[in-house]
Amino acid sequence: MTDQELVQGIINRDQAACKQLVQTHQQLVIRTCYSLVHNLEDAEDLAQDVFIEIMRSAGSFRGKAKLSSWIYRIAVNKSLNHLKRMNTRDKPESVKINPVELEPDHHGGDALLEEKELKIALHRAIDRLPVNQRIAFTLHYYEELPYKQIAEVMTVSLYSVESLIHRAKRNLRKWLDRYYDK
Amino acid sequence: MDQEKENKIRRTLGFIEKDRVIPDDPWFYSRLMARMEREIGETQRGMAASLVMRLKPVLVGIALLVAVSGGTWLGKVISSPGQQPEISLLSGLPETDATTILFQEVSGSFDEQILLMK
Repeated sequence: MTDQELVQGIINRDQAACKQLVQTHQQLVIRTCYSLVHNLEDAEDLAQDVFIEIMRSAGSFRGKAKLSSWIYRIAVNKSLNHLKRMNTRDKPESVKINPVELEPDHHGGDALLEEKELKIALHRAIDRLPVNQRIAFTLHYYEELPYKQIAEVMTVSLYSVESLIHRAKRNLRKWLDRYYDK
Repeated sequence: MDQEKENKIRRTLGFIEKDRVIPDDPWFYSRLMARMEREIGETQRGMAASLVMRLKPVLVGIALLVAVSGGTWLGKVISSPGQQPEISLLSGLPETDATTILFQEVSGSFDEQILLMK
């Protein structure tokens, strides 16, 4: 089934088309949301919002870009809106360091402790990036998207994507460097 | 010290490989469909409620109009002279003077009274 056929099926409320859309893109959507919000439960809820939005607005898909690019764009927008809402109420969970999280538990030992520490440091570093750098970086490193598709998702030039990812990597290293100095 | 820090930074950035692995959720589609059905139901209920709320003034207006017109029609029917059932019943009775009837009942007929007077 081509992208256009799949979208037409969704417009016609075809159950098989809806199921195929979800099964094909479920991981992609959840991972994109998770890479930005860093919480699996929130990411799954957001992924549901993303699919509902896709099914509601399938008619607005023009077919100029890839279907997956359109889906990535919706997932990124939903995640950023969620972060905005969270920021107005509270700081994102990953930004706060909970000392209990860093205490070794009885089952995992040092390896698990180190994993938790790395995870927290990584998420905090990503959260510190400016929005455009964060989107370009996560789409490239979490989704392994080529620069061309990232440019399509973000509706920017290829050169901008290269620049954003380069600056994101530099900023991450700088932030982690300071983080591990403490 | 610098080498150790460099290793940590590298391990942190390398952690993306682990972090990007999302556990498969076989119930995702079922949960999504359940949520969609629930939301569609809520939307339809909301639409029906808003339709009733919008039509409420119109329905009340129509009910008032029907009540007023019905009342006016009934009033006209009752007050029109040709269609008064009570009047038509009374008009069927013989036209007798009430005093005559009383006089007849108390004192007998007019002829009997003449005889008595004589």
